[in-house]
Amino acid sequence: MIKAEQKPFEEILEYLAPYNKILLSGCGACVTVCHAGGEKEGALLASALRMARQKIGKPLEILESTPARQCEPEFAQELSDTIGRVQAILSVSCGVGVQTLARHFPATQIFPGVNTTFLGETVAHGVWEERCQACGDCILEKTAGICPIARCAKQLLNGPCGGSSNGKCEIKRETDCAWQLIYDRSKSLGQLHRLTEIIPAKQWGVQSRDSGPRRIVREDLKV
Amino acid sequence: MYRTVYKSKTAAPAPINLKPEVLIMGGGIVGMTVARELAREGVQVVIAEKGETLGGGARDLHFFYDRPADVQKWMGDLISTLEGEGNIHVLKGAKLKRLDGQLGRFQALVRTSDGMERTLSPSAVVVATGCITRPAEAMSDGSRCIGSSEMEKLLAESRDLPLTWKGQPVKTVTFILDLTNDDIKIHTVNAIKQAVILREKGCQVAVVARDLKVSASGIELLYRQAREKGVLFFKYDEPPVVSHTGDGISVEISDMTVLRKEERETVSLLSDLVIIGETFAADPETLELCRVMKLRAGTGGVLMEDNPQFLRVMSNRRGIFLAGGCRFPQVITESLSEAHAVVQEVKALLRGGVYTPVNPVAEVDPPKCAVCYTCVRLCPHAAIGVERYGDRNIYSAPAEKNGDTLWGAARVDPAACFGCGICVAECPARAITLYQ
Amino acid sequence: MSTFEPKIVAFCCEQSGLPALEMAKTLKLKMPDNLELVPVPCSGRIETLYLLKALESGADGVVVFACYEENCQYLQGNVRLKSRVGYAKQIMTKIGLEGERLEIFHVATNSGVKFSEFLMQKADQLRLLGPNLGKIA
Repeated sequence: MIKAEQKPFEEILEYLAPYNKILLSGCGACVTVCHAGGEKEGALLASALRMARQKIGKPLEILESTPARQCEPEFAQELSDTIGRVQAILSVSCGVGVQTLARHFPATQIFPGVNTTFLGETVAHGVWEERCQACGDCILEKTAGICPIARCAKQLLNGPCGGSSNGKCEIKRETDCAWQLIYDRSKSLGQLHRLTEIIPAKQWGVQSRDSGPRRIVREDLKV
Repeated sequence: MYRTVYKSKTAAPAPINLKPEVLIMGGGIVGMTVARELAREGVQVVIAEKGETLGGGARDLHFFYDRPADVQKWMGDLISTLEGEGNIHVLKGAKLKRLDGQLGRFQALVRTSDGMERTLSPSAVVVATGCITRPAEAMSDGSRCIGSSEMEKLLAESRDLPLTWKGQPVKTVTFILDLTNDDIKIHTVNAIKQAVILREKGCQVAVVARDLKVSASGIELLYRQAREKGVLFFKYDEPPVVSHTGDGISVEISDMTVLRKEERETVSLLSDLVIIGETFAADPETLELCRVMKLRAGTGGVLMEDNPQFLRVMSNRRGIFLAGGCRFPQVITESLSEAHAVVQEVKALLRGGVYTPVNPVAEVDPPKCAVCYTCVRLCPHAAIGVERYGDRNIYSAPAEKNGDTLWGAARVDPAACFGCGICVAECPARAITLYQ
Repeated sequence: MSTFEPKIVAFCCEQSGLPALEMAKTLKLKMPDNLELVPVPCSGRIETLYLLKALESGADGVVVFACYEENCQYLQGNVRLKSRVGYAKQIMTKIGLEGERLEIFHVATNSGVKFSEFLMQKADQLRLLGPNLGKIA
């Protein structure tokens, strides 16, 4: 799922400085799961912002709302009545949710409350790691189910660089070398021969976002 | 001025039906005692024993310290009682593969060595898997230095005859205690018990210990008896030096009755045999059992009881009880007291055939749940599950499908909830409420 | 300023803090004048949000009376509380609120005297610190 973490508090305070009534919109999906922008984190941020502003004598009124998913137009629609009552929106959903609200409320200023960080998995409670970069051309079948694009600092496709030592990455010593993981797993699966196949260079401009935002269209689903 | 964090609910929690069925993990003396007592009350008991024979660790014992009976004969009687009891079913070579559900709807999948798999639905589970023993390091060369259980066997074999070891007469015996497991009293109890028997056979006996541990019922008396019969006791702080002499084995310790360290002389005890207590350790399979049963493991891989302020036979999950060596290696009498405590607890739980939650109970509002598993991971009592997803999970065996186990969100089982509210406070979606 | 009587919100674990409070009452020990008590089944029930909300809605100081560590009836409650209080303190630092305004105090059921002494000391400390400027009265 999408992982995010809250923006520095000072940064949020700074861009909310001109306003005295805002809507803080959370999201009940990914950012709830990674404890960054669900109902509770939203409420905590709201409480902290109110107190910080009270302290400097410029009270801030905050309406709170947490739709099940901010990235669906119908949920955004439900906020229509509230939008008229506030000067700005602070969204603690991922960047997608922020843009959904931006698209629906052209007249309202919107600010992100979190940094959308990566697509990752929970490795332990409270610890998340990047696993996918949405490159648009999955090669996991060739790499024993471990993605060198997301997990190798250099995104190497055909084996490790010379900086892999004792199974760790030279860029970040605490990170496992993705190619060490790929090798170990292939070996234990008896699939080492798969690694002799050369993985061709990725066509970043075709499948990935080097040629601009991507779009998926399912003609059969369109209404 | 008071405020409250509880929400009240008008509807009383639904009582949970409990069938009189109990699963006992482990067919040692604790498991068998619990089984016998419960079966007498009309409870259907299944004993799942991992080995092919009943008896467990007590098969190494022959003498009780507090009564004259023979342990093996007593155990033989116990086993034949179980065999004649219609309410008891014994599964041998059994392994618990899964334990799903909660109090009142536990589903245990047990595989036996013949490849058969059975699904049981006990109302309570008793874990009595015991611990394991390993030979102590000092016994490694095997000459004149033997373990406590081998001594037990020698004594049992030579009931009314003079003691012999490998065909040679044994006249003097020295016990060395506290080389391993300095925190348990089994070694003290076994040594004093065997020392008294050895004195009756006319042997010279010395016991060398860091600290004698007499905190079990009747041990002080036994100790006095041993002293009166002429067993010698020595205290050490530096580990004794064991060396082989021509036709014996010598144990050297520093005489601690002299207060000034530099004035202490070395006492050398020459014996025919040296007895060392085996090392007691947690069964390495315990950790796997903890994982399957969602129980807490303590340090050293033993099973951890719930809060030590309460009854020590309670586990962190309602309906699962612990007794005997799986918690802590202990003498037979104490293990049996725990067995009886478990029997009382199980009887109290099953009385009336229903369980009605009395404490506050947490409840998830399913539409708000993001299925993030925070509550599932943090519940100290393993009372929360997301069973619909578990059911869909192709990696696990499909559970029986029924409406009751199909949820699209986390669910707190009211029967298993202790009402602490940890999940309520942790839920990032604020989807959980604590109801009084 | 001499009339400032700090408001203290005290969360009391029903396993330790609440019995200690009852004992303090029985012994007729001194308590701060402006005190609000919130009994909780376990200190693990206290959300980070409760701690902030208390400060936001008028408290000058928040105290949590919890069981001693490794002594929680629910095994993990006071451990979870500790990390939440840590998180709340991080947020307070960002707001610019003094860390002394939030504190865990471990008590046993029979610690009535400690309970009262701690609250009286807390009230003195808060009196010196002055009112919580972040509260929205």
